[in-house]
Amino acid sequence: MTTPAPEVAGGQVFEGVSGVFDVGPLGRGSIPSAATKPTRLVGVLSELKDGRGFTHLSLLTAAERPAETAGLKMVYAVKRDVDSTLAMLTVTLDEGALRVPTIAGLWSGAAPLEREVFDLFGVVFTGHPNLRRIVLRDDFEGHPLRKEFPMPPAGVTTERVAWALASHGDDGPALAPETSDPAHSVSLPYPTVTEEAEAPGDPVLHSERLVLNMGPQHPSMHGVLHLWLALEGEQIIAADATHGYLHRCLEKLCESRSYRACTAMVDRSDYVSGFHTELAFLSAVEELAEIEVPRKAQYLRVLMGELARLTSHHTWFAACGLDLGAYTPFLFAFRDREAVLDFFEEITGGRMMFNYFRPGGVKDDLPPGAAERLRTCLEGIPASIDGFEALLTTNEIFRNRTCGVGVIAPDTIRDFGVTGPMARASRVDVDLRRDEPYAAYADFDVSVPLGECGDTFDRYAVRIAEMRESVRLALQALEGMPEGDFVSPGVPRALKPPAGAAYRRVESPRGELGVYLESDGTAQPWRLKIRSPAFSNLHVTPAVLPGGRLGDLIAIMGSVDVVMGEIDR
Amino acid sequence: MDVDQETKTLVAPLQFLLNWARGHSMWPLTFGTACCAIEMMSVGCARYDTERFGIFFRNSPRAADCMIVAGTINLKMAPRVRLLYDQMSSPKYVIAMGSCAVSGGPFADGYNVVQGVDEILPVDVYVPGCPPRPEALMNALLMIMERNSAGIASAAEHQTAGQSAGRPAT
Repeated sequence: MTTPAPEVAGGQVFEGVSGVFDVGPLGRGSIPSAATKPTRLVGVLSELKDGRGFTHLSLLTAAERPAETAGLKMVYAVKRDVDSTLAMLTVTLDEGALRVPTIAGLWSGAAPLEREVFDLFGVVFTGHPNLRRIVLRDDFEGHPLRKEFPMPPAGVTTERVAWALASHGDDGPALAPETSDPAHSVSLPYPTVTEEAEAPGDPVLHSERLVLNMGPQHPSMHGVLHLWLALEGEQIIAADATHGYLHRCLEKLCESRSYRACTAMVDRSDYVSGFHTELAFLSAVEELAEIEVPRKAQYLRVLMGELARLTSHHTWFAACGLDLGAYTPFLFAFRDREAVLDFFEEITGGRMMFNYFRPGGVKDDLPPGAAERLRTCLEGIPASIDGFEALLTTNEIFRNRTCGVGVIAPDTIRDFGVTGPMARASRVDVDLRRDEPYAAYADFDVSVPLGECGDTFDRYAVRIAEMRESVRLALQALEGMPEGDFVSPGVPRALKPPAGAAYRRVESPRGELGVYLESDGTAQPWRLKIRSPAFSNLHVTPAVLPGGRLGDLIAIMGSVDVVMGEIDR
Repeated sequence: MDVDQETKTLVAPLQFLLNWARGHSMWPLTFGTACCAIEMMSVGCARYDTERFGIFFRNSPRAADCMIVAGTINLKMAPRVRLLYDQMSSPKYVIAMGSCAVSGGPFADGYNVVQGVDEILPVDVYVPGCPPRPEALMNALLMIMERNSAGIASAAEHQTAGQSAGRPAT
């Protein structure tokens, strides 16, 4: 059974849009796709956004064009929430003229994504308010995702490490290129740290502005996140998220790995719930190589995905509690998490890195007796979630620190491309499991919990409700587990999908996780891009933190649920 | 160690007492980089409960005895790791947790990944695995505590004093 996708003809979406050509479906999929010229890009996207309701920016990336046609292409994907329709747009850039207008004026969330493309590909976004490196050091030379980038033959050498240790890398030569564009210049609608830090302090108190760095080593920064803040006393005036301390070349390295080896690589991207990245990647591979997935494997994928969502939310609950000074939630959550991890270990062989989903199915069937024991374990989980709630939901300190703090308006959610529980807490009702059922979700009755006003407490409450929902769905998957093969027979060991592109998304615990995959017909991917939900969720902070107190920041960041591995890749 | 019969007190060299104390309380720095940090959190949870051994995570490098490098170190992170290490007071220990910290792991051939944290710090214990099980990390911590009790010098002390015999035990 192949995954059903909404039947939309490319012609309808792009009908009447001026400036597009080559309209047709993307690869072998059913996503309507079109091409446009750099000069028409902003016009086409604003027509799609304002005229046709495509308000969500799902993907912004670049890919190298095949060797015989030097240059790059920009790839954009936008989504209409009403009927969950996706539309892709490509812009071809010739070598020597890698310049394209910024779309940060349409979506503020595009600005950090464009910085990433500039960093890794060297594309210059004209009119961009703040075009500089985002994941690599400022003094890094070259743009590594270009095919022409000279990869060090034996990795980073000792001399290179010595060079890195000599400076922090953020005081190197200013690499920001000339981006001025008289016709099209964008300034972001929120304060920036560099400007606010220079501003005079409070005239009555004779105070001075303070620039504070939180992280990359900070107990409540959830990994190696670095927040850069401009403060006036306790009040945050401007904030900026700096990352890249965990950029480990994942997308580039996948271009030299076989498709099967890539599954193990993408596992390490979102390391708190590896199953979802595996699934998004393999769905794209299976679409390109036209591999059927048996029904039983689809059910096992749903089952493992829901268990991973549960354990991911366990980790979030532990960290969220710890951030606000509550230690017991950590102990409770990890107690339950370990119980589920034992099943992961029994079924897949690993506690965290699974490599369990394979092209055409999964690695193995459930071991004998595991289904019954897993059912017993899951039936006990709702009662222990009641225990979690007794610790925090009704806790006066917790409520005081979260209710009404860090409210995100639905417009801001869409402006920054925020998805997942964060979007649903602000009443943006999107969930790919329900809207575009992948794997076996069409057979499941997915209910989507929503928040009330989009504050930190709502984000907490939505995730707690999702944990209960995941237990219900996992039990439903165990109940309805069909008989049959767990993997398609006859899938070759060395996969060589025909040339083409695919973009597949799943609903990960953090939101819309997509994999954009391009094949050139060889045994390695030509381009692999992970659309990271945590990246977009994190970059909403410059709009949300200002105006709040420093103490609120801890509560808000706890409710964002960042996973740096997925943000930096 | 002797007992002074007249005053009924224990008499021991200060170094012995210090080694004894250090061997029973190892405070690692809360410093997680990547995937391994999640397993490092598991070590502190109820099932593994390292606090029963006196292992208690500290948030400040100045109050920590030991740094668990849990994850990939890249060129942007390397100077920060070195800075944190320099802020710790002696004697200090380093555990390289997981394949990435040991050798670069699955990302070793990348353009941005340091091939093992021993390129920037003296490492006392290597814990292989991707990620290692919590038991393996606990074993590494206990190993350092045993060495401490026995007065064996840390890798950092070896580096500064050449291959000397280490701290006196009694």
